[in-house]
Amino acid sequence: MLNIWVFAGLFLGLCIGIRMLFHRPFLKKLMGFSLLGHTINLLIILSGTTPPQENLLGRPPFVESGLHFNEIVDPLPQALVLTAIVISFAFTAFLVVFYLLAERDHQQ
Amino acid sequence: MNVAFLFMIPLFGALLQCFPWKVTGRKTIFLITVVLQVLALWSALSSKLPIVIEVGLWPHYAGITWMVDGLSLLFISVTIFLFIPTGWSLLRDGRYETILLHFLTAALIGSFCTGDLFNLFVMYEAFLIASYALFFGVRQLQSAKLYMWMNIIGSAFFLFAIAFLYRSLGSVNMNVIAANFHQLQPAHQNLIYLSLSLVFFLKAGLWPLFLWMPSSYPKLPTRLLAFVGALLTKVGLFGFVRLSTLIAPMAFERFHTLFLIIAVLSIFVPLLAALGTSDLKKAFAYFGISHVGLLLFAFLMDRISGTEAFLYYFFHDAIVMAGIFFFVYDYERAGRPDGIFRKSKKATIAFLILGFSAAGLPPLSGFWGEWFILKAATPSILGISVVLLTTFIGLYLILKHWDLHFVARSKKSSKKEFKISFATSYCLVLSLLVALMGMKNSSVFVQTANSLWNSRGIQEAIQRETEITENKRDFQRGED
Repeated sequence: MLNIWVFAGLFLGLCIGIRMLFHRPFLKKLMGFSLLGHTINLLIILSGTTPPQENLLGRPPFVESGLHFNEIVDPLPQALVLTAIVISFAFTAFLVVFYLLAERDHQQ
Repeated sequence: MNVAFLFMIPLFGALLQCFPWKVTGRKTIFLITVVLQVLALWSALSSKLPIVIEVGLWPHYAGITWMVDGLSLLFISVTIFLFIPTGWSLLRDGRYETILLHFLTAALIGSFCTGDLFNLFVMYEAFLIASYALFFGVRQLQSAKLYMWMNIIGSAFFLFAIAFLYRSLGSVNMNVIAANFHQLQPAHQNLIYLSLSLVFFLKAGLWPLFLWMPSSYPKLPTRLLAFVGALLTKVGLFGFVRLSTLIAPMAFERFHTLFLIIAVLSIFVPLLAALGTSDLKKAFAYFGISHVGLLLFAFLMDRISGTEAFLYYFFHDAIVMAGIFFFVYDYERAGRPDGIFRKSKKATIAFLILGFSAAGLPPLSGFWGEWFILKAATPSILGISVVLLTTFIGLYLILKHWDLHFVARSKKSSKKEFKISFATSYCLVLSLLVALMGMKNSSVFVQTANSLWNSRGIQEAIQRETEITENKRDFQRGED
């Protein structure tokens, strides 16, 4: 298993992110959504380093000559994370517009 | 015609509708989109199932596979059947909503076609964002907020389950996961299965995750509620059935009692809410919500006959509830009149047929739906009593609204003529055809149910497709 402190940190990130979603002000909700999204993306990246690749946590997924298959980080989760980041980015933009319009309607 | 056309035609239709056409132009483009879509559906229905595509000819361990089997085709056909009246009825005065409806349909069809869990997540996000944007048109933004935030938490759980699955098994492809799922420890299987079920139940609106439903669903414009209420919740159930039949059937057996409790509570709590309101739209919105619980209940009753009941009841429920919401739209357009029985014979007939079909009276389609569920539920006392109680309460609801709106007369009611639109009569005729299918005990549902619980057919199709694309890749590479 990977270092327990990595998972404890990510769990803390998830808890804080979900707790922030319950605050009333919109910007706190937005920050909570960002924190939640990025923590989940980190979890997906972590899923690409199964043992025996534990000591490669920060390594980019390039293949150099002479490397054994065990010494490569899996590049597919990083592609998945790119998709998830793009989706949460688009959704953040949508949320901001949504709340602007809601406030405008409320003032009327 | 490739199956991918089913996904791309509404997408291009949406892009074409963005241009500033007049109403006749929009109608022409919509008709062309519909005709092409129906042709694509026809070609999919007449080819050998399951249809497997490797998108971009990438091998399955590096790319996305699309897998269309009987379950997918049933859901896709219902989507297309309901897309036609909703789009036609929205064309004249809802340009914004037409575009969003096309995107929504494309994302729905994509999520039914896909055979890859991460692609399922992407398609879910696409149709969710389209459905959030639909609230802009009706200016009821406050009601959509809970819907959005709960779905965010659901998406987070979905991604967590995908991360854990990838770490344990090395693939997000549904068939690869299905072949290797038994290698995981039972605790890990339960964790993944429960996370994914939580996501699907949240989308479906089952107890206790339906908190977003009462504030947001009845506030949608009624024509859109016909499409959204009939289909968006059922996508959650589609994901759940895929999960439980293909990926993790052994975990499904373990949680049977838990799901039974959830299903029964999901049936009766919305029914209580439906009985408590006298607004026609709200009552039927809550009534439709309780049918999702009934669908889950049917699926839980028995393996093959329960799945057959689930498939037929979904087919009946989507079309009949859409018809009821189109009727409610006609009712609102006529100014919410009272005493409709004296005023308009067509409206009375439409409401009675659709309402009795939803409640479950013979020989309409609701009765055959409940016949299938009862066949799957015997000899369980719980099953029989739940189904009969649902029929009884549904009938009481129909009669209550018959009294409130059709019989009771008041001086102040609107004098406008009650016109039944094309959408309502379309759904009426379609529901009669569905009833005919149920009466004949059409074998397509049993065949689909059998193929779902026996996934060897899908594995063989994957094998065949992999060989074909291997040959194509070698040919393109020039045999080096």
